Amino acid sequence: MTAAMPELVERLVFDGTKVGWYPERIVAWERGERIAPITIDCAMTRACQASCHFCFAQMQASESEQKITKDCFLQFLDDAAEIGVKGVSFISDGESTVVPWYADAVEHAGKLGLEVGAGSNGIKLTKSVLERVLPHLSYLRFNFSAGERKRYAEIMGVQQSMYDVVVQNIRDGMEIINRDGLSCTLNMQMVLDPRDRDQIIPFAKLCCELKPVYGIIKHCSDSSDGKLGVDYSKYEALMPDLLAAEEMGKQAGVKLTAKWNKIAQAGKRNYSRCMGPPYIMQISGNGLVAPCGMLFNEQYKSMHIGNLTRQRFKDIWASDRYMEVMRYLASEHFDPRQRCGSMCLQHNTNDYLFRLSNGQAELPTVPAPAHMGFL
Amino acid sequence: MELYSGRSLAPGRFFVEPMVPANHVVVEFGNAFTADQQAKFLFVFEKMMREDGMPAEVYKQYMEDELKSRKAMTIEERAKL
Repeated sequence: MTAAMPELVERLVFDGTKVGWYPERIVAWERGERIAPITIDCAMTRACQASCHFCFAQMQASESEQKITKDCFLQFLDDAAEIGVKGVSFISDGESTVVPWYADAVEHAGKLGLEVGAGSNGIKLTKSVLERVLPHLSYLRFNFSAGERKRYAEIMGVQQSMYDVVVQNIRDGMEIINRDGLSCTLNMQMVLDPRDRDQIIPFAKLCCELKPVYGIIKHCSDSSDGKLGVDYSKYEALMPDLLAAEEMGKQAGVKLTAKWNKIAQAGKRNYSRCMGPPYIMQISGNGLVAPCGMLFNEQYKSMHIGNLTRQRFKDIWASDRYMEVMRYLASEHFDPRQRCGSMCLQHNTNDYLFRLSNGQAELPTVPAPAHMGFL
Repeated sequence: MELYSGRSLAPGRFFVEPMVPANHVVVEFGNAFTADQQAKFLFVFEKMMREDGMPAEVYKQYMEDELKSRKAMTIEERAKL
């Protein structure tokens, strides 16, 4: 790890929003102007080798005949950079590493000057792929929702041998980062369903052994009708294990943290308007452009804006349709407490912007944190 | 708003479980409508009802996960992706 890495990690925001450091976009949007999203979370496919029982992507199906091509995706990146998007995260509702042009896309985004982040189950992130993508990535997140081989396979729906493959890929990734002095914050993320409590400490142990730049434990999301069966009332009982995990990280010199704010909110929203999507929006692995991932399912067609396989992204963004959907979400006609599932990507941004608009929050006065391309 | 008003029927009477909450509308389209047209018409429909005082929410049917990905595949099939 480079000497500058610990300082960089201290400047990361793990459990909040950075939208307050973009006052010019907030003011422009309030004036009725069109603004470019700061962050776009997107995928290159909806396919995945894993089948995690808590995966929200199970509920994000739409227009399933659509498939993104390499040309189409690179054009999207061109457009994003052209209109002023700051960062793209290759996460969303599919495992982007399974497309053969994954590394090309990461390199292309980096060369365009976009800040690039990625999340992955890590199976395909072999040394040769890592050598190509790590120089362009601000962060690389390995989704690793267990600490033991057998439970890893059960929770993530993969063969047990994949545990060894991904562990080796994490080791290789850290070796490349240390060798080349890269600033990519390679991290391990456990998505925690309270039913998998037994894996909190093993996950912490594994992080202490592999020494990623940091490890993070986060809540699950669920649909408005609770299709995944996540019991938010059970998170509170996990606190002792989560605190113990953090302490283990401290002892081993590895930053290990839980997303306390979101976990403590137990899936509840304290705002009645959805104001975040113009700043942080999502694109499905089938090209669907929607305000957010919660609304990907075909059920929510009324809020769908366009599709990268049919239209250029810059045209979708410049359309009347884009503005009318985004404005509608922030109006009194769309109350996310009634209409959305829990713990969406935009949650902290929504919460902050709602409080800001009601005079209950202020713009930050401290220097901007790291990774400003990702809200 | 009481979403499942049908539950108040007297015991013993024929009762059909309501499938749609009281303020929801679920629309089905024929294949002549493009995806973009569907999105636009659903949106306009909801806005129109709300302007008329009905706090409606307009949806299509929930779409299950695609058969060729995730749950319906075996571990071995997914590993080949």
